[in-house]
Amino acid sequence: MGKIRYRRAFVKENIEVCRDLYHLYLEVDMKNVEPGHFIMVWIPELEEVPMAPSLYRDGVMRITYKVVGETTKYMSGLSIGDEIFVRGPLGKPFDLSMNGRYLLIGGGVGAAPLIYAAHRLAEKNYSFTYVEGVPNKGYKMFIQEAISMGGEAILYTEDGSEGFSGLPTDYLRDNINDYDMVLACGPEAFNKAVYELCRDSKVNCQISMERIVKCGVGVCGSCVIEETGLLVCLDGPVFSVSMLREKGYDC
Amino acid sequence: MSRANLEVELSGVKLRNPLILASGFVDDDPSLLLRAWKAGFGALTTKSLTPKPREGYKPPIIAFTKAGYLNAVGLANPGIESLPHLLSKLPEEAKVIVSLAGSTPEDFRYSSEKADKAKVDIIELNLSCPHVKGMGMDIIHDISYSLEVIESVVSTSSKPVFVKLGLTDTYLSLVSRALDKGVSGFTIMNTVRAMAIDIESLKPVLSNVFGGLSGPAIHPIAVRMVYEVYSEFSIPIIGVGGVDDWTDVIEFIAAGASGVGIGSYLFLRSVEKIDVLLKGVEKFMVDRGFSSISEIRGIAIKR
Repeated sequence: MGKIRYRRAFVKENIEVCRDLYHLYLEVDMKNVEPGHFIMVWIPELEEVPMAPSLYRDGVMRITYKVVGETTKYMSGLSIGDEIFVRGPLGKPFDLSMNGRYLLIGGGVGAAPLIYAAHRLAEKNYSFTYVEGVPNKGYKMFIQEAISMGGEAILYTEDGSEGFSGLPTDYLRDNINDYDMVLACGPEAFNKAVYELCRDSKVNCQISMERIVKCGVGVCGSCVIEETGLLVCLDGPVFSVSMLREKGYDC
Repeated sequence: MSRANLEVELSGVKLRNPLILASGFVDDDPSLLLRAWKAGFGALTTKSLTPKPREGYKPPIIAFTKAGYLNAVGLANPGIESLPHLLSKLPEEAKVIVSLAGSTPEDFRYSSEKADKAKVDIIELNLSCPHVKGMGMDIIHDISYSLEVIESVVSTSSKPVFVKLGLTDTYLSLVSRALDKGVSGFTIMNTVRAMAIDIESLKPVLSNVFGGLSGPAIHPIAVRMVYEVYSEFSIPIIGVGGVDDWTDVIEFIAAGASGVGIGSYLFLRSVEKIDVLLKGVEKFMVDRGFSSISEIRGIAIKR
């Protein structure tokens, strides 16, 4: 019923990390939301937008979001005690069943579901490296959090203001053979680069894809991954590289 | 299991089975249409195409109710010019119904002329969308205007033309007069104008407030309309409305439908799941000794 019914979510905190980047903490009952799932966040009279939580623990969901339109602009003005509405979880989450060495690689706000995955991996005592790529050091999101869980954490900044200069895909290119499973999420160009690197190697890889999700239940077709016939909302948002390849993502 | 023949004919168009992807469902991208064809549909209906592309409404565009679903997509579509592209991945043998929407007879004529040149088997006129002003139910409620629209297409098109009916009190009269104009068949029915209020926020769910109700709630109404039209006119009908399992497919056919539209069945289900419907229909036919769909068509009608 959570897929279809809205729940009230109360704002506990809404922290500005950097310009237009926020962590929103919501008190909401959604125990079955896993890393990689998405939820629909509904602001009545504005719009409903898809978001992948960056954590859910003890009845509190964290949503890490960038201000990109009027709905996220509105979200940035939320204060403690305000209520919004959510439905979910929707889609298929990351498969974290394999016991092996994980590489988590996030581009920008795409890092959100990956840090949530890192929490799950840490609980299972699986080893992971968390790599975050951001425009500059001000946008650093989860590096400390990954370290505090006992994982290895590596920062890439586009302007070289902290950590390595460049993109997280540079790390993937050089170290791909050290891992059994890659989890990735970022903008389309980032995902495509990850796809190509992992396709050409033997490593297993799951990518969380982004498209415009409207209905969230597999009927409107707006979130299709062109050429493949795959729907982000129903078949994904997490896809294995082998699935994407089989369905023609190469084209 | 021995097999039954699921082939049907719709105004001279042979379909491998009666299941038809209803308009508006996973049908606005060439790869989605190809996936639906591979999933086993007998025919595919495109999104309702208008002369120019339309954005549609903001999400939420769907809402869930106890016995069905509401949608208010707002006829979002890539426009009639995109039709050749939409069909570009389909194999030669795929059967396609193009759904057209518009406001005026000129809109429909313009689009049908484009459709006539495309690899399309049937043209369906959507005169009954319940949630876009001036483009749907507003047309079908006005019989003489509907007939003008129908005539503008039938007079120039070389393809069979179907009219998609909505729930009105006067549809039998429209059917009779549309047949006089040369319409080949009818798609029965469209969604029914409705709304849902979310009690958490105490607000209408749909951004457009009103939408079209589909799903199990409307199925018996659609069966009634198919029954009435078939018993009076014995013409080709695509029954659409709330098919939720294979028994609903049989019910539509027994009421007189040649084809059966599948729409809200696909909420939270991938298109490949229509296999369950096809297997159910086939098993029913084998168990009951029916060798073809035509033996069941209209069988329930009291003469």
